[in-house]
Amino acid sequence: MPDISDDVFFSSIVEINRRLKAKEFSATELTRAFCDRLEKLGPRYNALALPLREQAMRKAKDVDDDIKRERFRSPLQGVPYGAKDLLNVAGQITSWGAKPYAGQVFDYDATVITKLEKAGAILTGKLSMVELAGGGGYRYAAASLFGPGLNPWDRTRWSGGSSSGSGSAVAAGIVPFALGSETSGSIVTPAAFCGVTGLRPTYGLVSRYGAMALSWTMDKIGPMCRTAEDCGIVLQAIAGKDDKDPGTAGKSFYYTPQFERELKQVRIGFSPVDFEDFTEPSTRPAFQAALETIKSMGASITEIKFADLPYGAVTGTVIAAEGSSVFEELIESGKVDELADKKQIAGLRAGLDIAARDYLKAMRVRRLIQQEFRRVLTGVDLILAPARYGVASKISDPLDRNTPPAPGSAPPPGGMRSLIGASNLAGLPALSLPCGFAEALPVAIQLVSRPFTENLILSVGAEFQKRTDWHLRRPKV
Amino acid sequence: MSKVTRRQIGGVLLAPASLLAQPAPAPPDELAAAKQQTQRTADQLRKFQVPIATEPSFAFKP
Repeated sequence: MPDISDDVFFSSIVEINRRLKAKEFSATELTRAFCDRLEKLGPRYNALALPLREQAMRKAKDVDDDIKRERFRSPLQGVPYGAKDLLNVAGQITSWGAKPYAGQVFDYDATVITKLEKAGAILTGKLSMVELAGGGGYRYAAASLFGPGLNPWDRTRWSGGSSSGSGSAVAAGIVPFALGSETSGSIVTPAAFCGVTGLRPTYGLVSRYGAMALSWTMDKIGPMCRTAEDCGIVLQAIAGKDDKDPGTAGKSFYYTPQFERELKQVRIGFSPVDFEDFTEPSTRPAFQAALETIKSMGASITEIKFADLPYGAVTGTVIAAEGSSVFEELIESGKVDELADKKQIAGLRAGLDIAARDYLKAMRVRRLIQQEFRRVLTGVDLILAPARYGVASKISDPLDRNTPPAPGSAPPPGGMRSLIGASNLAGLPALSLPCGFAEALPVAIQLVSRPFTENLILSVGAEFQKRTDWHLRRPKV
Repeated sequence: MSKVTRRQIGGVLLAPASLLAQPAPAPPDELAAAKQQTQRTADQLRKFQVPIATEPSFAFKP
């Protein structure tokens, strides 16, 4: 029996695949070790939604047969992974993290699951999430069928939402990578809080067929990994046209960072107030150091400023209106009351009453927001900002503690605190990169760019990770 | 005032994090609060002027 130690559990996809090909261990041995770890440690972080050991072991045996015959399919061949519990796996429970759907079973796989299967990746389990991806707005981290997502760096802290289990499972070395989804922050936030690398792809690049819908015009599926390079490998496997997804962009993605321009030709825009004023004081040294690292990479750095648009109001209206429509039957039947979070229940109910004129207005302002990003991203290639402005919150703390200023009050003086919502409205890709620690918890920066420029974002992210080792740090599990 | 025993304190200190994370009780009328929030958001959007030629982002493409 080969030694599958912590070094393996915390290895990158590239490293695991190399060791599989070198026959240091078999896919069966690796899968068994990761299944053991998922079942043992997953519950410790409330990260495990459903173990899939039996089908994983069957798949691993097939992979071993392929490797024996030197049939190498992809860098993901034989690599275990976990999927957020809003992705269908045929014949298995897909709960959407919510009690009313606790026994729900679909008879078909989500397109991303099928694509990863073809690439040879091995699904070891479903990972927990905030109920219904938090579409109604929620007050507590405990808004989930699985309990609050616990952070591997400190179990009294939240792992972030809504891809809570995906973030904590990657951070704790329970899976080498995971799939998450983002409507407005659900990949970027848990990646930042857990200290992993998360990629939110451009809207339409990855099929959402077989995934729970929350907002048809904003939902995206993306990878959460140890490194930017791993994110590129997974994205290549899951991206592509899918006629079953009306939002498909009809584009493929090939991870080719070697063809990206040199960093000295890249222009990065940022807003100093984000780093100096809006971040929590304890995080500022880490963010300042990250900014210095980015500057040292040779890219030209300039200050940028966004127009004062109602970013938060548009994001809230679009998600609330579309989400409440998606779950209309749940709400009208009264089963919505089975959800764990009272604020979420109320938010979904209230969303049904959003007037057509307000939704349409939000969608018209959304057009202006897209135009604003186009303007900003003409002057720079990338936008740099803190992924989150503070560390993971305590799991008992209400998440709506810091509510945005009421309409009519003075707008915040510059900065891009609305970047997550706004860039999601514009369908733009984003990469969350661990960049240090504060209060013994990870902090992260995010890079946002034009649609379908994932290779640029990933190449800058990979360069950042060559110069830092924050993504290699491991929590004590 | 009731006495807190050492056993009770020990129980709290040793409780799993998930048990300590029980959410506080929700405000009494969450629905009214949610509706008020929706209305405030709508008011904010209604005040915002949009050029008449601006079409909504349907058939959304980034």
